Formats: sequence, structure tokens, C-alpha cells
Amino acid sequence: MRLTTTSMFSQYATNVNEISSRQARNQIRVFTGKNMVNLGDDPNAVTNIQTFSESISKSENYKRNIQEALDEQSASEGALQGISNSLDEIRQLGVESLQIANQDKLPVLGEKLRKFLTSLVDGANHQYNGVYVFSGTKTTAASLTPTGAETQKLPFEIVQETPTASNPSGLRVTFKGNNDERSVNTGAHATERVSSTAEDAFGTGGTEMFTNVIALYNKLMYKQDGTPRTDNGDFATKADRDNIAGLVKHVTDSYETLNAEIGKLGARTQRFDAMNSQIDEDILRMKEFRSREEDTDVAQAIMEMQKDDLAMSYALKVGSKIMSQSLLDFLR
Amino acid sequence: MLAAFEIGKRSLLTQQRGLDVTGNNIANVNTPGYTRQEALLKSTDPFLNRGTLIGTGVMSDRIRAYREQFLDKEMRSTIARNSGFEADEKLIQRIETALKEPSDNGIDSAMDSFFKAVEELNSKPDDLARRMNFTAQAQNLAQTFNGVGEELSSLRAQTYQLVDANVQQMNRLLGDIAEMNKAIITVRSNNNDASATYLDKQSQMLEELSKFGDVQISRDENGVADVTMNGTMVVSNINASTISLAQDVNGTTGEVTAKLTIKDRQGNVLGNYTPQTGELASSLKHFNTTLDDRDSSGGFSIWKHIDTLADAFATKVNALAQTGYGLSDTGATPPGRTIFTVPASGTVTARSIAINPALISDPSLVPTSSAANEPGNNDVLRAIGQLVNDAAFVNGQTARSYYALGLTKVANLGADASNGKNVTKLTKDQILTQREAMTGVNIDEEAVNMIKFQRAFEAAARVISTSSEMLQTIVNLGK
Repeated sequence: MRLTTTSMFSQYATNVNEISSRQARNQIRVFTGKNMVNLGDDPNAVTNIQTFSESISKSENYKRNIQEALDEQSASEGALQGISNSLDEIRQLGVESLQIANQDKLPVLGEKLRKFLTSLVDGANHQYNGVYVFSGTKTTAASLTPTGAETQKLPFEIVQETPTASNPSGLRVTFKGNNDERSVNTGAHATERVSSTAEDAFGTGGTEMFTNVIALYNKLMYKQDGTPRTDNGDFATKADRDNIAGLVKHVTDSYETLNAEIGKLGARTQRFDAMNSQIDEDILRMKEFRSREEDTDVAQAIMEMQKDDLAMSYALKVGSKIMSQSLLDFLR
Repeated sequence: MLAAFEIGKRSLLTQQRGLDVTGNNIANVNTPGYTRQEALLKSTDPFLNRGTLIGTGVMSDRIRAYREQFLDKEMRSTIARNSGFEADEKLIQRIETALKEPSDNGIDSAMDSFFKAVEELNSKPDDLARRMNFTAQAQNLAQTFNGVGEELSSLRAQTYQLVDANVQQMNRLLGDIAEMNKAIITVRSNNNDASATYLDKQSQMLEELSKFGDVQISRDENGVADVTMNGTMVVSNINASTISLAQDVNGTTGEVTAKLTIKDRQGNVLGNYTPQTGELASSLKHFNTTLDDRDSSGGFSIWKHIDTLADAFATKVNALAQTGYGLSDTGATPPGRTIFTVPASGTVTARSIAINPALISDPSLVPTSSAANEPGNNDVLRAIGQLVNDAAFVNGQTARSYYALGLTKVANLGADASNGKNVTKLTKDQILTQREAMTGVNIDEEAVNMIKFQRAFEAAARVISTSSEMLQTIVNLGK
């Protein structure tokens, strides 16, 4: 085939350009760590990368939700454990009050119980990260409106009402929150509740436990006719003792309800932990898949760069040798 | 004896002409479109002297240009396809830049951040800081859509300018080709060899014209070219028609498309022009389809795709948000507050999507709860968060899958353009090499020719000087 000067030069320029262009692309691949410089480099990979990225990002969001839920579970569990301990003390006080030796000391035991009642309410008003954990969806002070004898913007409050025959102390614990569950998304179309409602933890209406404790308090502090017991040998009657035994049983029921909720929280925590581990594995696996599609095989890219470097230096060497000479150089 | 002088003179002139042609070839070795020329030598007619035919020397009556019509035609067709793919590749890369993909600053990333903010707020819907982050991410998403919409709109406007510039260049070339035909006719009528140079220029113009669109050429015996486009003759002998660009607005949809027509010198419409290949075909296709936000052709429009996504996003999110309550909302009926504003037309576009300004100034208004005065209630927001999994979000796909589909289509267009460009470039190079092999100048070959003519010239001169010496000898015989 006849070779002309133009075709020789243009062929040479084309080849050198091609090597330079390959070098530039490999450099970008190594510098950015991404295999794809333009979308058109690999249309199939575009879909795969987007799909993996979407799944990773969704999983990361769900993982964060679960992590926050776990933190709240832990805070709720701690608060309920504290309440359970106080309630156990109250139960013990009730049992002690049935002992013969303590028959003249019921008001003393009652005073002790009153202090535990305060700590129960404090526990029920527990906040985690600015949220009242047992207040349902009324999580902030602003959403809690005191009515009647209530004075505080707290979910649970001990109020002093007019004494009655059935409630001679006039004490009552009110609940201003609600029993709605709070949930978060933990997967595609999957939600998990993250809160314990007051009703779950403290019985009917969210106040049953407190009502039982106050009833016991009333029995320790007041006689059958509603008059206060005195500390100087005001012995409990058999009827009092029977009543107290019944109330201790109610407090024990509340204690069991509370512990059952703690158990549920523990089970939920375990499930969250398992979900967390599963999501971790999914994220790791999907990142691996995405990496295969998206990331540069650095070793290969560097080898290709070296190969092109070599090709380029030979091309330039050969080019400078051939291109610079013609018959005209040998004519005298 | 005197005949030798004439033979020598003829030879001197002929070799000199050969050297001129060689010199011209060397001078044009790098001239694009130049075809090498050759001085054709032939013996002059002999004369009969006493029954013997005596030669009378040499002459060069014609200069031959090495031209190959078939390769020229193939080259024009390949140039058209290659230019089309090159224009496609450039535009797709600009679309990728407009979309900011692949990168972490595109719509996909903004949607991801939006849903991340939704989930963060879901965990603590009463938290003002998280609400502010939510509004910031919603605003970021809207602004990312706006940016992409504006870029695509601007790209479409620039594409129209490119179509216009292409049309103007084509019209200039059509005029130039007609002028060149005129020049060729003139030099041919004078039997002038300079027509080879004009034919070179004409061929180059035709190849330049092919960059913009597919053209059919027919030549007469003198090399005068008639040019036909889409079955309409646009250059006939020395007359050129013009291509005219106009915008066609659909009265119902408001869709604006570009349309080309061919007009004669009096302005009469000869026909429509729809190039199938070339730069103009590419620009026209992208203006009328890929970048047409109201495309009705059924082709793929990235702008329409993004607009559809923006509209679905605003519609779906707003539908849920309107059932929700903000932190301070009261009453049995939700306030009907939206996250994104809806224009009077009812259709949200990438350029028009915007966050409800009330939410920016007061993030507590973000509707998250399904009941009033329940700050911990995230029922509405949780539903918004689940939109990321909504398989019927837009056109039977999730939001991000739909966006990914658009990207894949752009990627396929880019890959097709890139592959097409590479293949046609290879073909173009091969045809160029084949054509060059026939028509190109080789310096070494020309150097050989130079020596050949130089030696012949020297020999011819020696013939004259020897003849002169002989004549001198004869003259001196008489002294």
C-alpha cells in the first residue's frame, strides 16, 4: 500500500492521542477511586450502583432509627427498673405492716411509703433526650396541660384533692399524657414501636399502679372510719390487716405488670440488636457489591498506566526517528 | 541539426513543468483536501523524413489529479455519521454535567439526604433542631431540582443556538459550492488545468457540508456538483437554495419544536429538511426530544423525566403532609399545610419546585403528627419516610429507581454516542488512509520525481549545448 506523508503523520498523531487519552482516563480512575468517569462508560453499572446506593442509604437510615430506639429502650428500661425497685420496697412495706410487731407502727410505714410514691412518680416522669418516655405521643411539656388540681406540666403528678371516705388522704396521681405508641420505620414497609405506654407499664389508664399504692398508703395512715392513725398504740384491726393484705396483693400485681413490661422491653431490645446486626451485614455486603461496580481496581489501573507509559515512550522514540527523516535528508 | 534544438527546448519546458507540479505537490503536502497532481508527459508527433519517422521530443499537455469518487462518497457519509455521534457525545456529557452525575451533588444524593432527614426527625419529631434539618434538606432537594431544571433549560436554549449556527454555516457552504461550480465551469470552458484545484476545494466544501447532515451529490463530466438533501435539490449548477430554521409551537401543549425547511432564492418553500445523520441531525434531535420538557414524540426526554419526578415528589409528599399537624396546630381538622408549594397550574416542575416558605421561618409547622397537640406523634412523617419504598411513586417505580432509569437512559445514549463515534472514527481513518494512499503526497516520492525532472532537465540542456557545439563546428568548417 502506498503510504503518504499526511497519512503517516495523522496515523501517528491518532495513535499518540489514543495512548494519551487512555493515560488520562486511568489517571482519573486512580485519583478518584471511581471506575466510571462518565455515565456512558458502563450503563449497566449505573443502574446497579444506584440500586445498591439506595439500599445502603435506606439501611443506614433504618440502622440509625434502630440505634436511637435502642438508646431509648435502654433509658426506659433503666427508669422502669428504678420504679420496679421502689414498688418492691412498697410491697415489702405492705408485708412488714402485716407483721404483729409492726401493728402499732403503721403511720411510720405509711410515711415511708409516701416517699416511695414520690420516687415512683419521678420515675414515671423520666425523660430521655428531652422526651417524656412514658407519656405516649405527648412527649413535651408544652403538650401537657394541667387541669383541675394539677399545677405542673409533667405527665404524672401527685395532686391533693378533697379527702373522701374511700380516699381519706385525698391524694391522687394524674396522667396528662396519652397511651399512643411511638414508632419508627425499621425497614421497607416495616415499623417498630419504640415506646412503652403508661398503660403497659403502670396498668389501666396508666395510673392503676399509683392508685394501688395510694390505697395502701391510705390504709396505713387512716383507720376504717377515715380518721388518721396515731403513733401511740393505734393497733390495726383484723379487718385492717385483711384490707392491707388485699392491697399488697394489688401492689404485687402492679409489680408483675411492670416487670412484664421490662421483660417485653428486653425482648424488643434483643430483636433490635438482631436487626441491627442483620442490617450491618446487609450494608457490608451491599457496599462490597457496589464497590465491585463502582471502584477502581487500582492495581490493574496502575499496570495499565505503566503499560501505556511504555507504549508512549516507544511511540515517541520511534516517531522521532522515522518522522524526522526523508529522502531530502540524503540529497546533496 | 536545428531539430535537436527544438527537441531540447521542448524537453526543458516539459521537465520544468514536471518540476513545477512536483513543487506544488510538496508545497501542498499538508493542505487538507489537496489531491496530488502529476504532469502527464507524452511524445510529440513524429515527422516523416525520407521514409523514416523521426521523433520530435516531449510535451506535457495535461495535469492529472488523483481523485476517487467512490471513496469521496464513502468519506462524506462517514463524516456525517461521525459528526453526529461526536455532537451526541458532547451534548450527553453536558447533560451529565447538568445532572451532576456521577457525583454526590445530584438529585439522587439530595433525595437521599431528604429521606435521611425524614428518618432522623421520625426518631424525635418534637426536636426543633431536627425539624430545621428537615426543612434544610427539603429546601436543598428543591434547589437541586431547580438547578438541574435551569441547566437543562439553558442547555436547550444553547442547542437551539447551535442549530441556528449550523444552519447558517450550511447556507454559507451551499452558496460557496454554487460559486465554486461557477468557477469550475469558467476554467473548464477555458480548458484550464486549474480546475483540479477548484475540484479539491469543492470536495472539501462538500465534506464540510456533510458534517451537518446527509447530502447526496451528483457531478457532471466537468465536475460541477448538484447537491440534494432529503430529495430536494439545494444546489443546482450555479444556483443555491437556503435552509430556514423556525420554531413550531403546539397550540394545545405549548411544546416548542424546531423545524427546518428548504427555500429557493425567491423564498418559496421547496420542502422540509429532516437530516438523519450529522451534527445538525444531532442538535435537532436533542432540541426536539432529549431536551424538550413537553416532548410528545414518545422519545426519551431527560428534562421531562426530571420534571415528572419533581411533580411526583411534591404531589406525594404534599398529599401526606396535608393530613398532618405541626407542633403548635390545634383543632380537629389538620391545617392542610404542604411541604412544597404548588403553582397555580397545579403541576410542579424541576424549575418551579420550592419549599413552603412558612416551614423555613418556623420549622415547628412541619406537619408530622396525625393528631393535634401530640409532638411525639410521627404518623404522618413515618408515612412520608415510607415513600422511599413506594413502588408506585412515579410511573410504577420508586422515586430513586425512576431517577436511576433516567440516568441509565442518559448513560445508554452516552455509550451509544461514544461507541458510534469510535467506530465511525475508525471507518473514517480507514477511508482516509485508503484515499490518502491514492491521492496523498509522499515527500520521498516527490523527491524522487524532483531528481528525475532535474536530471532530465540537465540532459536536455546538454542536448542543446552539444547541438550548439556541433553547429559551431559546422560553421567553423567554412572558415
